[in-house]
Amino acid sequence: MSVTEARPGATAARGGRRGQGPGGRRRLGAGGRRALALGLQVGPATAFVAFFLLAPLVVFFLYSLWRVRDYEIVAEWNLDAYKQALTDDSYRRLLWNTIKIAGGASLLSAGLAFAFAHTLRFKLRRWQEPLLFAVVIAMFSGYLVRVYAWRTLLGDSGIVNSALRGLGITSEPLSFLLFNRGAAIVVLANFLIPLAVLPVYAALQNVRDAEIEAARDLGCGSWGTFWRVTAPLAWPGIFFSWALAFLAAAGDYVVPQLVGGANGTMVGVVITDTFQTDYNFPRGAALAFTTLLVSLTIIGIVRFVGGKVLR
Amino acid sequence: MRRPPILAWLFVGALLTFLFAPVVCVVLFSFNDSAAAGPPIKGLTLSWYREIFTNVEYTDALRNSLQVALISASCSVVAGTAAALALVRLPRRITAVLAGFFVVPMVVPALFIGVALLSFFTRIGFELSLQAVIVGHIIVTLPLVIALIGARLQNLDLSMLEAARDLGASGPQAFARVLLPLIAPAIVSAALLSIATSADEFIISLFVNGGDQTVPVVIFGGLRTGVTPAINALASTILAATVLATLIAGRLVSLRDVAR
Amino acid sequence: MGPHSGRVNTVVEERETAAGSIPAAAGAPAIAIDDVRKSFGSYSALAGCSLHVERGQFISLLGPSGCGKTTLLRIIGGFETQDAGTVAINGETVDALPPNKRNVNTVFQSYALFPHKSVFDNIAFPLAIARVPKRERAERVREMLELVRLSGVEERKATQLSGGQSQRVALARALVGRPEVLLLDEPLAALDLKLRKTMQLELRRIQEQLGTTFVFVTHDQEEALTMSDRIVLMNGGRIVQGGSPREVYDQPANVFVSDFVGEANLLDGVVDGHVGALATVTTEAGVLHVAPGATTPAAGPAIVSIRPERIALQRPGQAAGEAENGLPGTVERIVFLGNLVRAHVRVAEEVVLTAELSRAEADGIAEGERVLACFGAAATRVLPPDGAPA
Repeated sequence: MSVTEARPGATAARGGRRGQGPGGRRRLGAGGRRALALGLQVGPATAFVAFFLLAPLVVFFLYSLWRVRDYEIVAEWNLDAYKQALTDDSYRRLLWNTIKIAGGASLLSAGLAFAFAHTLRFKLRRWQEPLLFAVVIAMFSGYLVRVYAWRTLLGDSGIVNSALRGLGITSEPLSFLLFNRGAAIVVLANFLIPLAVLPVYAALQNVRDAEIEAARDLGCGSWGTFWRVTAPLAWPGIFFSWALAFLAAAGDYVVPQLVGGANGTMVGVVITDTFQTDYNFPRGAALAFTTLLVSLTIIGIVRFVGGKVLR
Repeated sequence: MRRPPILAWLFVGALLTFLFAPVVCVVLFSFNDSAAAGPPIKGLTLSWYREIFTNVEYTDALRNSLQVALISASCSVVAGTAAALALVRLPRRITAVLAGFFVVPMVVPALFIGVALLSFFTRIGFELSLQAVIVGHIIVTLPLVIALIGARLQNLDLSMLEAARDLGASGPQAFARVLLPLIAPAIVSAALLSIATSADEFIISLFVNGGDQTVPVVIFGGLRTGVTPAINALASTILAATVLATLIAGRLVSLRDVAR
Repeated sequence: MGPHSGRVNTVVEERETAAGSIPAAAGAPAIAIDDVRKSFGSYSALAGCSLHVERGQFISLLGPSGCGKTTLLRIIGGFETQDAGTVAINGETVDALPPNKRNVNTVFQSYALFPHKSVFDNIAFPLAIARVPKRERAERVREMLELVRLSGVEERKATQLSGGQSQRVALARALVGRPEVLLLDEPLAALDLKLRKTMQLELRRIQEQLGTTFVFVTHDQEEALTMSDRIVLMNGGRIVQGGSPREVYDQPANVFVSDFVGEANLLDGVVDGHVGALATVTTEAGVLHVAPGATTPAAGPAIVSIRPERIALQRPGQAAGEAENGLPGTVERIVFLGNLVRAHVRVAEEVVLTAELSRAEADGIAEGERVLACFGAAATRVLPPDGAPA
């Protein structure tokens, strides 16, 4: 693995001086060897992602345009699965519910993540590192755990209800704490917040103290500084956090399954069912791509509007 | 300015409590001497841990998870480090394209990666197995490795490699004696975080495991019959491993470098 | 401010005047700083500074890094709050006002242009905050760009400018709101030498054209000498001396000023007698005749400061000049500087004097030669030894 040839000019000079056999020079000059070395380094990772991610996504997309007959997928081109996804009432309701939940969860996550990163950056400067580290630990501690533990926390015989009964505040368990849309949003936010913090934090690091001071100096109050300088400068990070959270929420399967209940169901559950129980890959694929397309459209609109508003 | 920012601390405290409440809850009830995985706490016991290390279903899952984590992390670290080293030296335009390319696995929801891999593997006749799970985990950990090591390389002055060459080192010597020691902490932390990610990964594993279940898949299966203390103990074991890995990784790299 | 307020120039006052009342706005100085103190933790950044700046002056705060000059500037701007003391701008106390309520603007060392805005939007920023009508905004931005001699870049992003251009945009942005006082925090530090020289003259031209009070922080003594009406020297969180460039150069108040502004030969000695109007100081290099000044101790240890350009070299046999002092020595090294020649002359075992000579004066003087280093009593300045109060 050669990592030495960092500057093209220097390489050319040195490569020439080092002198290869005449045959070698004819086949590959210094530049060619450098390109080959770089290619060999970046090649495996690129090929791997291309073969095991892009190719599967392409196959997955093709499936959405094909048909199932007798539990076999046959290459008959059609748009039936998409038509169904977009016109069938139950699918439309499902999609709409997914967007509501993903929208709520991503707004909550990005909002709290921004508030957290902003507090670290401007109010608790000295504690930035340890507090950020705490969030990173949360990010790597148990995706499934963060979902199913809420059943122990909020369930009918869970900690919160036991405590409320023990204190004599309630006599019956509060069953609205779990298995509904609100619960799905809160639980999604619980594991999306750590993901959302890092990009926002990074964006706020790019807002330099001098820029804040300059805005103050030129007549801005705290709010003016926030809206005219801090928010626009941090906007790319805020947007990225929110979009990441939105996509992750829209494609989640575990939360609606474990704590969503009847009105907290989402596309992910149905997609999984079409793959695991119906074996109707085309329908599942069409649902997945419809969700992806709708999500990306929403994300695009937010990006456009956000960029216009925060300037 | 002088008074302590009480509101700020209240907010940060509340948020961290929210984030860690489920984790604490699971760990706590894994020690509960009761068949029900919920309040009240009847006493402390290690019997649930004894169970997960003796019951074949759980030990198999632990072995599978360990195997998957180690293999996928090794592959990701080798391929990812090589790619990161090339990315800092390729022409800017190519780097921009490739950087975008390697973000794809981070952005596409895991569910879609899982079902896409399932479609793909069945199409090309690749048997669903631990190997398939490993492939899925390499996909999600590669971007992490490239990001971590890339961040470290970005903060280095690579002309020191030329200096090393100028002072008589060969290419491999310059790499081994100058660059490698400097990026070694980043490599180790990338490996640890890859292991943590892999051990925790659920959705892709769910779709492509083909019967060779990893720990999260077993936990999820157990949840159908309700949360049990043994499930909590199993989850806590994985939690302990991932948190430990994250703690060590965090000591090795500056968060500020990464958050950029 | 008591007896000092009538003076036209910058007045450096002693601490005891702190409790004085602020005079009415009409004749008030542009900035009145009274006994301002500031510490960061256990580190005392400002140990009681008092300073009056008259309107329309170009004043430099000069000192080494860590002397407190930037802290003082940030307190005037409102970015730091002092622990004690008051700051008044145009006779009005501003201690309770945040930066956005002070009619003072700052050119930051890093320029702090807003990277997400165009040049036009950067300069128009304070006008937008103040809700100035759009047409007037465009007009005033255009005026400012003309003033700083930068046009045709209005639509560029702030990140696409060169260092010199960023500097001019930062200046235009700080001036467009017509502040009473402009604070400049080492704004030229990031520029290369040639551009810096140009910008020094430009800043002075703009300041004279607008008549705005400029407070300029720098650690570069040459910059301060070139641009300022007044120089205020700071060291260790205190104001050490204030005066015109000529005053601080010719009449340094202490060894620090003498050494920091320009170059100086410093000789340790003891004041031990008087010959007519002159005092005598015994140094390692011999007895010197010096003209006593306000800073000269009546007796005891003192330091004699002589500027290199005030020393002439005479070769043996040359007709003696009328200089009161002549120290015999050996030329150790001659350094060619282009327009000047610098000669290092050892006049005692441990004492080497530096003399700056014109090329004509240096003609024929060679290394190793015996010479007489001559300087008049008026060319010397006798200062209290280090550590003694100024």
